[in-house]
Amino acid sequence: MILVVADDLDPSIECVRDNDDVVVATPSSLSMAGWTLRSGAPPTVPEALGGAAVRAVLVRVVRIRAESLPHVHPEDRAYVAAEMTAFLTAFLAQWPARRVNPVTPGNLMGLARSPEGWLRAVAMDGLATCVDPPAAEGSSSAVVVGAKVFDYGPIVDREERAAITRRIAGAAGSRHLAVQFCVEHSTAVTGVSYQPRLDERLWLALKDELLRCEQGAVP
Amino acid sequence: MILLVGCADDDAPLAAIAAELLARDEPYVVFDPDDPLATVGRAWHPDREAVVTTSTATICLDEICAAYLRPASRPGRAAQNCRALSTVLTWSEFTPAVVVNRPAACAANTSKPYQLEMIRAFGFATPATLTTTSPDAARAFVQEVGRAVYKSVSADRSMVGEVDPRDTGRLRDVVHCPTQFQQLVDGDDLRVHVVGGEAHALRIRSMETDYRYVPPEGALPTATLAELDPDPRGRLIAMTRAMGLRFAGIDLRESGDGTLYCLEVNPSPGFTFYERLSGVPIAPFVADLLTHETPDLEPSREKECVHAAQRSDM
Repeated sequence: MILVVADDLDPSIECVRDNDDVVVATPSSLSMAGWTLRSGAPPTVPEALGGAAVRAVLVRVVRIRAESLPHVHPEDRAYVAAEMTAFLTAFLAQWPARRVNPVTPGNLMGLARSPEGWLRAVAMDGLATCVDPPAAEGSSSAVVVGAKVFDYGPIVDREERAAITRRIAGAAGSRHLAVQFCVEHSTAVTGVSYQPRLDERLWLALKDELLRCEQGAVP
Repeated sequence: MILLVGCADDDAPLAAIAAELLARDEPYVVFDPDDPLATVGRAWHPDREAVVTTSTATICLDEICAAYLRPASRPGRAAQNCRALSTVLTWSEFTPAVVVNRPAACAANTSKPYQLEMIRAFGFATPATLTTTSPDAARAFVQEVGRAVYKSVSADRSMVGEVDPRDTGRLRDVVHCPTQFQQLVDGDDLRVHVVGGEAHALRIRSMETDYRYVPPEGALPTATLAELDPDPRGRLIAMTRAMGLRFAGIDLRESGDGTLYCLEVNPSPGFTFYERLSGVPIAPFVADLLTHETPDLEPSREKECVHAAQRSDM
């Protein structure tokens, strides 16, 4: 069973909901009895979200946002959102479920970096960046899932973009992220994201990556 | 040039550091997150560092040799210029300058149970802690540990209170939001400020569960200099450094049998409260850090503090 932690408005949820072996936890799922985290003990997930059957987790939110908690009194939303985020941070860090990226305080999906922070890190690694992409910049990206890279850009320079994407993911300790490239200079990085919109092939690759251990593969 | 990030007229620790630098004739500049005129004068580019301007100064970030960060906005106000603040904070993660403290290193404190696991990894005793949305689990925990307190999970400041196990109605409410319960350890509070390679300890005595909040009719806490044994002292300094912090305010409690429980590592300590309480100065030591500390040799990227106990099947 895979637990997908996502916002209600995440369009990628539609792509995963129809799977029998997937449960989606939205921010309001944190107002549900059954979450426990105790020092020195394995955390527990509510039975309604799969309980002990959950083997892997895919996180699609940076943090819990106050706007995602309509069931909470408006005056309390910001506080409750911060509490839920802090809880999930510790929970995910202690949970032995398989995941593609380690949680860090500041980002439930991976490293807490600003867009400029990613570009600084990429530039310091000696890779080309494009900090002022043309206004009419289109979408050109490559998404890494484990050892695979899916290119959503032009045919040219695909191998180089795949190598760059793997290098950025490796430096970030990540098995899943998206790298955006400049349309004019197709190997110059314009941004990095942990939240690429999922399509069928990305989801299948992610599912394969997340369930690999259960199928007997070496993690 | 030393950069101070924060609200100098509202924030006592920042004001104390500014006063200390002024007394030493050390040049400094303040970036106030609430300054309505703060803006990015020149954005960062791989070939050149960013420049931010404020209502009183132009700050070339490549000329900053040390920075002290207290970036919280004034209560009830959002930072006026998020882009300028973001530029400064991102710079602070990557610069080789001395930074007290880098935001990524501070972030562990935004999740108390997360930070508690880091603390445990350094061999400190920590009180039994449960965070849950299950009233039954909360009830069983309180019964098991005898006396327990509840406290916020996040960095949002909250008053620590003792759980009344008869108050079953309130325990039922935990279903709405994960709530943290912690074994109440009886004993004296110790506050240790680790500044660089030094640790300054205070023993605090109070009649209140949370000594920071004293009711009008209550007695103020007292704080006196305390001696720490070399072992915990060394481990506190090593833990602070391993967390990527140059300055921290560490809360400990010494139980009746002498066990030292570590409760929290505060990466942006409100040290002036303790200066007032004890008469023991902390600001000069922080100013020493900013003026004498060696810059990071290899700071080139932020120090992500993924704690040792984190399970990553990468």
